[in-house]
Amino acid sequence: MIDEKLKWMLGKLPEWMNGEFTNKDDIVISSRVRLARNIKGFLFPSVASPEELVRLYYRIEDTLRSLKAIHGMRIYPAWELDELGRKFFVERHLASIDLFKKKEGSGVVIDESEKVSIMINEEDHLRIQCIYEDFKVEEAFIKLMEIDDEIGSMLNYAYKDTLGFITSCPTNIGTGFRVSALLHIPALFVSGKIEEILKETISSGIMVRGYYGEGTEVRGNIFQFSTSQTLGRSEEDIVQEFKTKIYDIAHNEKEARKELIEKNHTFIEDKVYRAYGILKNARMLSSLEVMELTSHLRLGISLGIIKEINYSTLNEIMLFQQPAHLQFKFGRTLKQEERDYLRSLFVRRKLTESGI
Amino acid sequence: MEELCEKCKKRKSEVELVEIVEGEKKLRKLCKICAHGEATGVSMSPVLPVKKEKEELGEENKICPNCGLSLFEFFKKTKVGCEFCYEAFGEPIIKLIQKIHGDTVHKGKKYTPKYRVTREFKMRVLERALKDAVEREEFERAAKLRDMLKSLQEEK
Ligand SMILES: [Zn+2]
Ligand SMILES: [Zn+2]
Repeated sequence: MIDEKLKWMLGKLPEWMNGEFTNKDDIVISSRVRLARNIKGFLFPSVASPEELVRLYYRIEDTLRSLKAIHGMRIYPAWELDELGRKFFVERHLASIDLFKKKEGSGVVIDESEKVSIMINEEDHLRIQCIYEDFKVEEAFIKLMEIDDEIGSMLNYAYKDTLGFITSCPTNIGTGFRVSALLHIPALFVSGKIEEILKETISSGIMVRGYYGEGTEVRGNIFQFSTSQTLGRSEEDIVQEFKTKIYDIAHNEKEARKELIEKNHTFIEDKVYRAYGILKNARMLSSLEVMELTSHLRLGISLGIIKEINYSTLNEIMLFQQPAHLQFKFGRTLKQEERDYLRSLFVRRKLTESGI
Repeated sequence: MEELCEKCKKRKSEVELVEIVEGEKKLRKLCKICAHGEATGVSMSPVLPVKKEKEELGEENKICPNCGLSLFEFFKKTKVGCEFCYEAFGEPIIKLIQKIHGDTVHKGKKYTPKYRVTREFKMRVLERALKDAVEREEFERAAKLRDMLKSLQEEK
């Protein structure tokens, strides 16, 4: 029942979740860049027959195997994964929920560090993504461009001079390029400034989404901000504009945190310690609850209220408390109540280990 | 009784979102927070403008000779069937693209199978990153960026 092929990922965090933040304020958790690409001469996934998709899948898989830009490559055809295995990928941000809606002829290729993931036959023939920790957009961007060059030299992309890279959906046409970042912005939320900021952000062409991307809810005050324009601008300019906007939001969050700690110190301290109290003592915890409470702890760390826990411990809790991860961790499928109990057990253990 | 948000089932529902899934309208009642979380995906998605576009267009259908997808089917799914659909559908889809992106001409990477990102391009991007990192006192990152730049320089 536990997929042997996924076991190597169980004892570790994806590189972007591992380690401390270098940007000090712990606002931008991770940065992601992605490209949408299609192969010339093949029908797009929404109209291609399953047989055609399978044929193309193997052709792409064969090509990707020889990629030099990816180290320690692992290949997972979607049809070889069970329900739990698929959720596991979504929870690790390595694949979208949509990828697994049609299993025939689709799959995902990742590298050892889990920074690179390539979805085959999702909405487009290829979705290439790089996720880096912090706000390392440029590092991710260059890696992505190198991978794209290499794939583009082996597979002929559908491309036209005026419209650029041809994609399934007109929202991606042109560069097929998007940048996004996960931001933890609890102070904007608590202070009620979030609405205004979101409104401004959206009107400037940045989309706001939930923790798992499009169509998902916001969890633990973590928002995904993403660019939307793919045509009429170069990739480089898209990156630059995105950075400016995200720096703005991060700046606002910083100011809001400062204000909170100056004017409402006890209130914030109370929130942080309550979260700690529940996480350390509760015997039933839902996934959403853990996300909300770890958000308060995260804020507590960044404001210097709590010093015993580090970010990677929190990240580990956040990752492994998710339903599929939890079931992998305990080695079997779990019913809801059992899951909530074992989740609390796992969280308690992690907190005890970190000596708090 | 107050109606609760469909999503979180915790907060009061205050926002009604119209979502179009496979051509079917679905009304969702959400709290402001959950609505922001996904919404913006919804309001920014091409689905709504496409619907409007169809009304403006009248009913002339077109069919892509390569994959057989019709313009009307495209309006429903908002996904084309192949690389030739854009040409086959012509003006209506170009208008839509203009609406979504505010532009109709590609200005990014000019692809050929031989295309390679230049060293100059990489250096320009990394130098900009380095400047930001230094400004923000992200010294660890700055050091790594300097290393990357150095090895690019040596590549020459
Ligand atoms: Zn809600
Ligand atoms: Zn077509």
